Amino acid sequence: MRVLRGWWRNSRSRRRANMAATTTTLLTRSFINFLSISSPLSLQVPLRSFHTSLTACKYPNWKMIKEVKHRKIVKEFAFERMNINALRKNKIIPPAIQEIADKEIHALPRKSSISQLHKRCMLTSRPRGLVTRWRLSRIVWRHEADYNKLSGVQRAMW
Amino acid sequence: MAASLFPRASRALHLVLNGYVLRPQHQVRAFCKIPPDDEKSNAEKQEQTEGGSMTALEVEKPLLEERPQPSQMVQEVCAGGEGGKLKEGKLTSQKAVERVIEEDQVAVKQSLPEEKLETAKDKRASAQKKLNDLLKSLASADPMPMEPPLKLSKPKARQKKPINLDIQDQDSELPQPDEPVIEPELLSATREVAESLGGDVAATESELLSTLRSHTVNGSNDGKSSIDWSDLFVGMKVERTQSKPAEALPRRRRHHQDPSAQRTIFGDGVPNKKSLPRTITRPDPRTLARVDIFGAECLGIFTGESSKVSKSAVPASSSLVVWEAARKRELQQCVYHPPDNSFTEMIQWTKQGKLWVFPIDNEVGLEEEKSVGFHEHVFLGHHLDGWCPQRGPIRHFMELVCTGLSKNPYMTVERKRAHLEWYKNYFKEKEELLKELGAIEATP
Repeated sequence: MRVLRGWWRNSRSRRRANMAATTTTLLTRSFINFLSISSPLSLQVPLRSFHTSLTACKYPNWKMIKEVKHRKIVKEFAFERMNINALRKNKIIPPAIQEIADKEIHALPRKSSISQLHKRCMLTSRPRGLVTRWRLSRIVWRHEADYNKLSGVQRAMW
Repeated sequence: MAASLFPRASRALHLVLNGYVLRPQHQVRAFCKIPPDDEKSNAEKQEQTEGGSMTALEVEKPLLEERPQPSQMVQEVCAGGEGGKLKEGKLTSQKAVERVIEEDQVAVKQSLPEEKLETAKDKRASAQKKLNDLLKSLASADPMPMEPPLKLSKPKARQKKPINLDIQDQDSELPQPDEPVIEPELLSATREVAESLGGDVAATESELLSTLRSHTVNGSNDGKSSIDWSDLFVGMKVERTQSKPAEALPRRRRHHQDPSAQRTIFGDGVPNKKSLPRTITRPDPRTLARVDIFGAECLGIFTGESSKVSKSAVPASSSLVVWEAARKRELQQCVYHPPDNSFTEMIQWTKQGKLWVFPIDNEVGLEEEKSVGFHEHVFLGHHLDGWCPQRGPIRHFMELVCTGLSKNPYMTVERKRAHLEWYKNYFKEKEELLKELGAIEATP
């Protein structure tokens, strides 16, 4: 998990996210002070504790965030899409109904299609060179493997 | 001081003191430096003082008798120790004691009017006596020094009352009944608590009452145990030490305060830090009036209703949504403590479900599925009954769907039924089209 933080810190997007977070805290610090004065409880809020559940703080990239939203839409329509596709991809159902099914699936949002998704590395948001099973880019994968963080992964020698 | 310098003499004195018997002053014939004429005059004067003192202060009589002891003892010691060398032999130990006595006697010699003489001599006699006692105590090597027969008033031993927790008992003396008495208010309160808790009301109520009874019994036992302690101490020996009277202490404080107050006034105008008393003089609890808190009726000032009123002043359904949310978050953060180290952080994540739980279990999250039998997963044909036609392409398709779903172990039974339900609805919408196509046989 510490290595995760390292990638997290170094990426450009994270720096932007940090900047955004600090600005938000600057706006909210006075807000917090006001609250602390008004309330009897003494607030011991650590730095950048407000607005930590923002999507921007969780992912390294805005592209990654768009990808996440894409996946949510895919999940939403997955059930319907599977059923309609089952009707389409067989030779039993009459073709008239299959044509109707084609139209129906075309009517669904484009982003609900799994094939439209583009995988990215979870830590660096790299679009290419991914190791699918670990959802990591090859560089990160190599780094983690060298530090013995990947279970069952070993340097190949034969 | 003299004893440390002259150990032999001190030891001798010690021996003598233990077995010494008082002799009146007039019988003493001191072999000392002072010429006999002066001695006689001194003796006469002392006798006079003695006579005077008898009427005035009876206390000082034995003191005066004791006065010439050290000189006598020293003489006797010398006589016993060195035979007949007394008159010539002037032991240094004698000298020290004698000088002191001479000084006193010289002081006594000084002429004064008779009336004043008597009072002055009384004072001096008492002073001398005290001096002699001091010397005595120094000379003696006893671990427990003899107490001078000065009778000083001591404070009376105060009897501590046992603490009464029950309000009712304060009014009357401690009743010691065989069964512990519980107030009716407490009984009603226990009933309410038991009802609010729910479950077995009678059992909870009985438990609460039993605990109450045990507490009341403990209270009465504490009162009894205080008596037992004193019984314990009967057989034990106690060291007796000269304790200072308690009344002397407050007097001292007052003396210290008055001059310090004067200093602050006449000084620079700024109160001196040194002059101020370091310790805060608390009022003597004995002088304060005893207040009975539960004597009068409750005024109802601090019942907490005012605080509730102030809270309800701002309506709950106000437009300050963000503020309310922030306040809630603040409260959460006051309770929430961030992890101390990475270990606690990982524990937190495991609890949240972000980390694997070790040892790894493949069926994590599928606990409910264990209760579902395989027959519900496999035999899905009965879901087709009622709506699906017996023959035709649709039946064929649906049977394939059922076969595929039955082979899928990763889906829940509810999801499988939902799939079948969806198809049912879909074909119902397309019923007319299907009939036109001839997929569905028109049932008469």
